[in-house]
Amino acid sequence: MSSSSAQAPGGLRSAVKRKTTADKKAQSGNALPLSTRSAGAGGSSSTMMKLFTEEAQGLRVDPLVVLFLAVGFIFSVIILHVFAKITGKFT
Amino acid sequence: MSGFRLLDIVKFFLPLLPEVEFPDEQISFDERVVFTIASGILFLFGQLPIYGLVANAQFKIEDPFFNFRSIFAMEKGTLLELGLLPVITSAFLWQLAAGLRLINVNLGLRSDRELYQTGQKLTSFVLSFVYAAGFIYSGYFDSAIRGYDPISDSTPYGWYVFIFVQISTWSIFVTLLIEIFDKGYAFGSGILCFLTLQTATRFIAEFLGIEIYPVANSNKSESYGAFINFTRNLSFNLNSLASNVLNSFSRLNLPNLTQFYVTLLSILAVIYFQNCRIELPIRSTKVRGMNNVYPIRLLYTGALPILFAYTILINLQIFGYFVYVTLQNTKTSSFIISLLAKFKLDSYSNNLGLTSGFLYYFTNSTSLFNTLLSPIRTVVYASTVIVLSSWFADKWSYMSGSAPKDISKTFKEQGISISGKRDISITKELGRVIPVAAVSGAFILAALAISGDLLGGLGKGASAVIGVSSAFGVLEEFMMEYQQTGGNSQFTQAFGGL
Repeated sequence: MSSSSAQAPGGLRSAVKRKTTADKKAQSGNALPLSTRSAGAGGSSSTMMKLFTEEAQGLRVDPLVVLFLAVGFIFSVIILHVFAKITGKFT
Repeated sequence: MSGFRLLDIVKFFLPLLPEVEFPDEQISFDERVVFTIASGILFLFGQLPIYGLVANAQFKIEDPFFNFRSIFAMEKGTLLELGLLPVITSAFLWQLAAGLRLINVNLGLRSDRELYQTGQKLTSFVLSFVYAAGFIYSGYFDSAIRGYDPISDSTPYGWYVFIFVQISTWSIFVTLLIEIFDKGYAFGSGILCFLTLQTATRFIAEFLGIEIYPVANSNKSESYGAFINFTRNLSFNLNSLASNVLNSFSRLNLPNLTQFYVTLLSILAVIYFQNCRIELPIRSTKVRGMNNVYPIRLLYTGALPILFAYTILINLQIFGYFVYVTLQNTKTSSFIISLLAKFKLDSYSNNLGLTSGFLYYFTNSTSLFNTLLSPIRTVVYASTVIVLSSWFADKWSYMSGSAPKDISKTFKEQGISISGKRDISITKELGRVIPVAAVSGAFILAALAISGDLLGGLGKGASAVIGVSSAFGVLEEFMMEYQQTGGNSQFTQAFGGL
């Protein structure tokens, strides 16, 4: 069947209809993915909100380093509080 | 492709932003448990008071955001002042922008996905700076800064810098902790896990907290926990009994029993709705006689629609408040300001409650009495939440990667088909069920959250709804992982006998 207007068995009858369905199909097939998960990578699912699932360039840090830095930050605030308490006692 | 893309701005910041490394090898079940618990505890450490504020600052800060802060883990006067708000706002902004094709990004490309992710992180950092600066600019902390008298002293820039650095740095750390979760070191999604954790700990503390705090602008003191306060004040003197009971149900400076019951009922209702589902009969196209069911849950999009609706509302309130303060500072005519908002300070709880103006119509009420007293606000508020969450559920069910099209694709790959339907019509069949389930699920949850708010739950009901349904998501992932390890975990061996 070389002619495009040839009717496929069981297909739509008019050529116009066939063209629109083919166009629609091509459009939905070529459409860009709407989210990282529909693109085949990780990311937010229907019930879960996930942001950082890709390995990106940047200042690489180990997760343990993040945890320790966070602990360090908390401790520095605690120490500030303690100093404030101590100096408050004497002045 | 057009000449300019938003993502190209992000590229400039790429080498500066910290990025948690991906695990080199598979993280074991035990390690994931440890990471989850450690990050969770660290997150809760954020409830440390800010250095530079007076003791018990949470009762002295004049708080215009008390209506919604419990939903976003925004703890007054602590390092978690911004809570999860910057991350959640930036996540919704980017993911909706991509899903609705408002920005030019091809998520099929790895390089674009990386920039897209870094964009979310950058936005969350920038938003936390904006919120922190806005809070300080609007004089939010002024009534609680140590050794500072707003009337006689000059502007305390030193303290401002201290406060700004503390809350924005902690906000950055929270974002990185969330990244640890999302990169697969811990269970579930970071945002939802932290929300669950916050809701759960608050729920217990607000019921049974035994700390005693002085009541602002009076010489009395009350217990933190609603139940403890109730029993402490219980006496057999009939005159004081009635007023004490009323107080424990309606006090606003500390958690009250109304909020507790609203939370409890919301939790039970969500657990019930979580189990509602439609089961589509499926069969294998390869093996004869292999029949099963594919469940489609009523809460197809979980608690995300509610979270989205409240994210919009609180951002409206916060930026509205910033505009309000700016207008006041620039000496705009008071008529225009009163169109936007009019605040009234409640001397007991130090809450800056709205009494009229545009922003007033988008807040929840502090009690059932107030709800009935202002019917227009009640209707506007309720319909806003319902419309926003239903709209979001409809969109989200199509773009989150679990759309009918995506599911039918996986069905095809795995050789599954719906019984009695042809392969081609699977998408159509799923398309008939999924959006309906998503929207009606979101509607039910929104109605639940609103009814809690109308009874005076002050967002506690909504945060319970979000917390419980997030907990189910996290638990699901946990159980799946647990079954895959085949009980081959040190923790199971250690605690197996319990």
